Amino acid sequence: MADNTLPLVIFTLLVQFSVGIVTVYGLFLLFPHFRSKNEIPRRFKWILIVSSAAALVGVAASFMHLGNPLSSYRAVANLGSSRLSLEIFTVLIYLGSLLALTVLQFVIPYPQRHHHWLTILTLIAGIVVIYVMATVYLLPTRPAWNSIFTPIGFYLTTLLTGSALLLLFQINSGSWSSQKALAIIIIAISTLHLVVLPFYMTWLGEANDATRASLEVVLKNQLTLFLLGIVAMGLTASCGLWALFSIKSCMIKNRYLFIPSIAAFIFAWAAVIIDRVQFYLHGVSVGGF
Amino acid sequence: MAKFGFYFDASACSGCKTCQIACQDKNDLPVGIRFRRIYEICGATWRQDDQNTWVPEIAAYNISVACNHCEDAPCVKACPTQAMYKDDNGIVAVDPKKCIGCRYCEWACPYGAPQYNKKLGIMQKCDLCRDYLADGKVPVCLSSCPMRALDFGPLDELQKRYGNQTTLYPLPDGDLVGAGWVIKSHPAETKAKELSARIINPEEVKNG
Repeated sequence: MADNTLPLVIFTLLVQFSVGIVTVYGLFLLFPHFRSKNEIPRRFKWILIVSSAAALVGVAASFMHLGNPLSSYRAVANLGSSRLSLEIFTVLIYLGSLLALTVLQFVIPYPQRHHHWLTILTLIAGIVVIYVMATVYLLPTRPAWNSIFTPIGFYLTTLLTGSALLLLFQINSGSWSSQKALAIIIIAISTLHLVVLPFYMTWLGEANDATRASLEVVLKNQLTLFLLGIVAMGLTASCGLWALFSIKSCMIKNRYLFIPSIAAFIFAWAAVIIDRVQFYLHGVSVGGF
Repeated sequence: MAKFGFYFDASACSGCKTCQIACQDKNDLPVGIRFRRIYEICGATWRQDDQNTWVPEIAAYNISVACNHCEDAPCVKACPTQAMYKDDNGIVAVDPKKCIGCRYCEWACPYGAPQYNKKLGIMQKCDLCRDYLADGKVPVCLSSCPMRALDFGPLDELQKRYGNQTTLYPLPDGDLVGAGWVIKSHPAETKAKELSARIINPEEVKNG
């Protein structure tokens, strides 16, 4: 792995995790029938603390991949043509909005109209951040990254890590319907990850010489890592299923949810970390240069 | 102002790497940073002839690549700080004061031209020996080449003299970025394609 890759793995995953939390949280706000009336004030402000901390640590990690971080303020100087500039700009907007929302949750008790609007604004900013983050990798010179699979992968990671954390927060306190909804999201996203994978591998094998070289990197140099990633994602789906059945069997205050939700969270993180490390490792340049 | 570029004759290059060393020497580059790199391309297999004898089939040649100062330079577009810029002569260069060392230009370049200097924390690259040009001299890689495989001049003149070819297997398509150079193919290029020839010195040309 190149020297600057690890900070990028941390940055992209933590920002996606943060956006995932806000997205799933926002969906609960927008669709109140999935939650009880008291869930938001009691639990969700702590969730926003986690989201803010993840985003801040992610942004801090992004500085570690720079050779000259003291001049990083210049990084938004080319918004016209540099996707990296745009990424940094949108991350800053998202972070500002998220921090404002988090502080507001503690200062003014929920529910207030501006909470709603700020949540929606943060959610939209988060969705835009993930899109722009994906476009950074849509480079014609890196064919393995330059496909629809990159934004799909980023959005799936966002939703999976976000919903896995929210399920953790719901143990013993969330409503039956919200626990069930989160378990279903985890099962659906991890299954979708596994369904998309063969399509991506097939595409790598067929698109061009550089993508074939990328496929070779995965299957020859990183086969163990690749298989571990599949196993971790499969276990995430299984734990989601386990959580879903635990909810059904116990109905309300769900202490049986403890082990499957923690396991789902751990396996989901293992899977997305492996997936992201592989993403950076197999991005072969056109012509192999 | 005229736009300058290189000409590379793959059929003449012996892969001696004098151009690479001369460039490193002139620019006082540390080990691992090469503004000009020599890619050794090789593909080989065994073929059974009419008399059932197995004979080797080999295609091998070298490609000397520096920055091609592309018309539509992806590194310039990608650079978030505008440290990577194009001057009046079409020379793509790095402003060391603006570079933050994010290495995004490295990803964007199909030729691996921008090189990361770990010690300085910034990107560096071929600037066509601008100081030499100002003194009326030619770039050092060109003057050092014992095989005369390199030439240099205004791009339109090079195109008149040598044609418009900008791609040589397995280099990426020059049209992808408007590569500002002209190439003469190696006779083994077609066979190299058939044999799916590869770069056989990846560790040697790797930045870092």
